Amino acid sequence: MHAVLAPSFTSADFWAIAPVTFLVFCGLAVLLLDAFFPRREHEWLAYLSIASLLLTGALASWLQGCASREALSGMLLTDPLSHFAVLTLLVAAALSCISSLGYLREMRADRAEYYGLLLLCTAGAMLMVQAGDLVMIFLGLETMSIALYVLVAMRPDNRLSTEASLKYFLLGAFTSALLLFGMALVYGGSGGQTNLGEILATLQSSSAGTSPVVLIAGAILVLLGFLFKVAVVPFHMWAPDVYLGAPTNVTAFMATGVKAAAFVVLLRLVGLSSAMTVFRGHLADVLWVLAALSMTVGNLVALQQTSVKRMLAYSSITHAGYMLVGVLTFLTSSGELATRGTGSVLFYLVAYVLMNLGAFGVVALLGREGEEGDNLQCFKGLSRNRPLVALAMAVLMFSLAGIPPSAGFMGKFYLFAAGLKAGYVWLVVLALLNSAISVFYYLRVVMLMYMQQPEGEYRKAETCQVCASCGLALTSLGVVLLGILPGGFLHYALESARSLLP
Amino acid sequence: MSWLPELQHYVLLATALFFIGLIGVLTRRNAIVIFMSIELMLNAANLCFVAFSRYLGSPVGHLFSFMVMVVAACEVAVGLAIIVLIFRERRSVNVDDVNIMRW
Repeated sequence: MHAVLAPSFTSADFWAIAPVTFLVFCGLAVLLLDAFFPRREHEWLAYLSIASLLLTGALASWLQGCASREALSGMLLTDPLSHFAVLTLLVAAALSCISSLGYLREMRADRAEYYGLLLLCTAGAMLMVQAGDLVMIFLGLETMSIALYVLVAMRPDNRLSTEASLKYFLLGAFTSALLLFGMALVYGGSGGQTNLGEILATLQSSSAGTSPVVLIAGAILVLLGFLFKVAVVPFHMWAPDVYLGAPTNVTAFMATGVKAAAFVVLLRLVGLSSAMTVFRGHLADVLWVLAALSMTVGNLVALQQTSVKRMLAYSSITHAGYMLVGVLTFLTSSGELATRGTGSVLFYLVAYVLMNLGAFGVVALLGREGEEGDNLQCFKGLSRNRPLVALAMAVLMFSLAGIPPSAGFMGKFYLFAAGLKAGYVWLVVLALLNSAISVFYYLRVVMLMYMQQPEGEYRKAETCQVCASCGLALTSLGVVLLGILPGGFLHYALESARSLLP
Repeated sequence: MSWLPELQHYVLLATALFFIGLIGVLTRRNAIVIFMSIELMLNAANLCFVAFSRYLGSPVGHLFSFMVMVVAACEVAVGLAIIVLIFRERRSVNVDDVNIMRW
């Protein structure tokens, strides 16, 4: 029971944390290398970071074959879901590294700390998605968040960046405090358990020494904390400002990697909550309302934005609403349907990660001489000046709007099909209506790129953009590929989802 | 007869501290005071952990509260740096002044 008092560290434990440890060492190495070999340009550190992210992914996949389901006395879960989430995170981090190659220099913010902190932040997120214990969830979340507070302020001379950093910091710390108090109550209410598996066992046996009221109060606070993190209406106020103010490559990682990590943990926690039969029905009602609100409010406000970054921020709130449909399906159904709900959320998460990384990557490509290229004006006539970039952006916008054949369409299809099967007809109807509305603001960007004349002279970038363009090509190809041949990947997502069920 | 506090007293105290912190975050406008209120909420959680740990005879709560202290220290380091950055730029740490972007 009290595994902490009798620590045993076996070689299996070592291999389970090897990928995270490797990434942390790489992050520290990047910081130290810059201290010992200072150069004016830090592109070599970017290549090093990308290489270390890819190596971590390879290491994680290689070790996955021989791993048991949990390690470090249940602190770390090494199930297929963890592996899926870890790979998604690493892809997100690597692609935002690629998109930062020219962008940071163009923004006069080319610092080595960016790469070191990004690696440490990814390591924190990896710990969070693998966590099998409340302690680990909290530590992973904080490792990730504290690195992010600094990353958001990566342009200290820019007022928007510092302002975003302060807002993110205050809201983030407040959220962690809510979460932590919730964890304390769950710990007390479950009779002294912090391990997710043991909490589940306590819930199912409802043994003496547990207090359902305290437990439910704690669960509400913990879920509230994560709903803040995934930016669902009405807990979304911070997201547009922070996404707008942060440097675009950091926004790309925040909107994708961090959100994916928070969603995976949310799925694990919702899985726990579904064992509390009293609580489950109420939670489902609340999530229904939140999903409906997120879709509608996010969409309606996104319609009025003139900044593409802010528009994407509101659209990410909308997408969180869509994904809640899958979470709801998972919460209220059992067996194969629950797996389908979770699997569709995972599939959509990957589609969402690719689409947003690409879209923010395009915004990063348009940044010039310390100015962001996020205004809608910057997209006017882009097809004349940068035909390939415009094509990639068009593909990504079509996918975000959910037009076939794209990953966004397939993702929505699986999500809503699972939702319909679970009986959420009205919610799915609302989601479909919202998808139709969202076509307007996504296609407005495409229209500006292809049907309008460029305004003024096109300013060439000072920096080489080959790498960033390759990253863009990768994401748009991925989006199309997932749209045409989703079968194999869906199977993988479902297999990963299966590990959530007991 | 000496009076000994029971578990529920500790939990009540922790809840009171938590809500004082919560009200502070929601009503105060000075970034440093907001931050102090957040620290109060973290300490309420710590008190809760330690009390539960003592009364339930499970050592994990003690461990958790140590972790929280470490994390809170890290947060102070980063948070104060951000607040200093804001102050240098605007000569104010009032969150109402930090509003180029609307909330």
